Amino acid sequence: MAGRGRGRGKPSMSISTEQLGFAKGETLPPPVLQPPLKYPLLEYKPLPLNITTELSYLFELKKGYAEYMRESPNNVLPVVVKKDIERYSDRYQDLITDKSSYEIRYDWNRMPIELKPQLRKRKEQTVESPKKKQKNIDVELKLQELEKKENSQQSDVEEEEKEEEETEEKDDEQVEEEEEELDEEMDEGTDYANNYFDNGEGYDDEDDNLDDGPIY
Amino acid sequence: MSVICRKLCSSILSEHFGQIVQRVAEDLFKHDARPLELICCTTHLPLTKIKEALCVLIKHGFVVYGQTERGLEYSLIHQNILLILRYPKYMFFVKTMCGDESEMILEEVLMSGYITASEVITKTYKKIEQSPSGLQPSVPVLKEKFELLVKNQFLTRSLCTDTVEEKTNEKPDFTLPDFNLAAVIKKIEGDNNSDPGDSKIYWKVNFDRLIQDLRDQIIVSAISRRLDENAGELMRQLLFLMYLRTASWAHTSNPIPLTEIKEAVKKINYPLLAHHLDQYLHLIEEDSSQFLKRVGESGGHFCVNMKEAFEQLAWATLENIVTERFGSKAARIFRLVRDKKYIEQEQIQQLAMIPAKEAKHLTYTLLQENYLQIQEIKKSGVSAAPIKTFFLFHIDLNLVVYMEVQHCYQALYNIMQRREYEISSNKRMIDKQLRMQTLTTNLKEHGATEEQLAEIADLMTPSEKQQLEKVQNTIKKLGITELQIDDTLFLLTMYLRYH
Repeated sequence: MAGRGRGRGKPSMSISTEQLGFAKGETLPPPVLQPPLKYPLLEYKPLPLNITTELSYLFELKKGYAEYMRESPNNVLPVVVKKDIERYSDRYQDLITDKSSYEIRYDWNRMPIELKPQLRKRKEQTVESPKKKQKNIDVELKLQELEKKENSQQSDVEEEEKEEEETEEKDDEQVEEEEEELDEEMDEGTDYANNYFDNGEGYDDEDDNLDDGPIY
Repeated sequence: MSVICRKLCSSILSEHFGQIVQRVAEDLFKHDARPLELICCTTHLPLTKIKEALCVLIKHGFVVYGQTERGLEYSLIHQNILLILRYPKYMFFVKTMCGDESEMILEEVLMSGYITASEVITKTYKKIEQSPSGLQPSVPVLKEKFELLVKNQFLTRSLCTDTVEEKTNEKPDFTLPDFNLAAVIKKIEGDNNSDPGDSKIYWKVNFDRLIQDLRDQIIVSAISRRLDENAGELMRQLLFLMYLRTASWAHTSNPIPLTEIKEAVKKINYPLLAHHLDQYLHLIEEDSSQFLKRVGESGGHFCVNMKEAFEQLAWATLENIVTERFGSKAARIFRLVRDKKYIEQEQIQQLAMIPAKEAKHLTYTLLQENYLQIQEIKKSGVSAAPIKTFFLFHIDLNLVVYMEVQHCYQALYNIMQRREYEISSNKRMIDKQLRMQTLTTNLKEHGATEEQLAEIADLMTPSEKQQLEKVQNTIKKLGITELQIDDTLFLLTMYLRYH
């Protein structure tokens, strides 16, 4: 014992064994070296379960309610990723499951408008119209350039310029395609093939989109 | 709130609404109020699905939204999720009060969160039509039952309010709807164009009222178990009189004059009670549970003391828990500490008449499990050596009740997990039985022979049948245990509400 021999007349431990209810000379219980059991043995058995008819009825009510809720449209189903091949039973599955949007089930006078699944159409109109104008201008410019090229003699330098322009245009197109994909993700119907892993990088984009979207 | 409460809520939601709703709600639980974009950011779910899930949660009253400077924010009310555990009890209560049709109407309202009167009547009508119970559906009767529910305040108007602040101020509105009965009948017959004229008037379940009713049930049954049926009935009448003159969650009722009690008792058919009214009142008043208090100098007035009643009930519950967990000797110590308020170890073993070593062991076990608390009192001016300090044991009731509430959450969560496990590990068999059932009912409709039906019944081997029965029994037992734990939980939360 570390405390032994320290001071005079004081007890060697802060609490003497007698205080804990052990008589002098009685052996102390061995030290516990293992963590307690995960499922400790029950010293006292629980009371037996008394199943009355009332409780059975309550259980039926509970079960019925849970089952109904699970099967009702309140259970929001995840987007089904299409399996490898089309199966015959899929056609019937489509008939059974209700594919209609949740929009019709709610009275939108009493729900926040931003939850309404209609953002997409408005956004398309607002976002894409300036893009198209830009594209038209590009075409006109290109035609003019082409005219110039026809008139003037082809030189190596010009060819290089042309190549650069082409690559730029391709980039533009790619950007546009990506945006369209994003739009599609917002839509419910067309997103089977997409894998919904979001690493959070695209968060800022979506944030912007949302700010643009709803017009109150 | 605690982690286990969150886990319980999310397991309740996943049982009823599926994974997506659960994940959205759990996110809201973790982060309090937050706008749509942030939910989208942390849950990694597609935006449309989050919106859909929020719609479901709002409709069922689990989520409220409010306009803040950061935009529209959503927040979760987890207490309402825990109410789902008690839905069957509400339905059963309404069944005993207002009959089978009312129960079905209430169930429909619970299923949709809020709903218009005409719609709920249409749905219930169709349900009764399909059910084999032998009830005859009739629209006027259903309307009557609906009005009865509203009159009893079990249903209330669900008003369209946008912000959280307004919601707390709103007064329950029980004005009856006025809708075209003929149009409802037409709609049931398949005419989709008829308009019952209440398209914007929604109804929801008034949980506050139902909670009070279950609370009263506890009080009445406690008295009838302690004394007898007559006393229970007297208590019911007293509570009824209490409603007439007191705000709904007041700690004590305003004084009820004896003459009114006499009149109320005369109206009901309990001759023995009417004859011995004074004695019964005296018994309830003298009882250690102290549900009733005589007030005034003349002694002609009585007060129902709800706060005290639930304190007594909570004590009784805790004593039972200690008895079941640590045995009767530990319960004796627990009661002793309760009785003496502050008590030393020496005194415990003397007064409880338990051998010193055992008494110490039990006391320390109770201390370790937080059923007892310890208070140190040091002699002033003496060194801090433990031998010079008094250790007084006492019970902090609020603390212990709160801990027990957490235990209830934990137990409920564990049971739900176990039930899920039983279901998922026997899914194949349960599905098979379901398929067989649908097949037999289909064949019966088409007039199949006995042989064919027997053939289908043979699809399941005897051992499978045995196993299935065992699983279903286990699931039922677990479900019933859940209901019983919820009883305890309800009582304890009622205590916390009053204290």
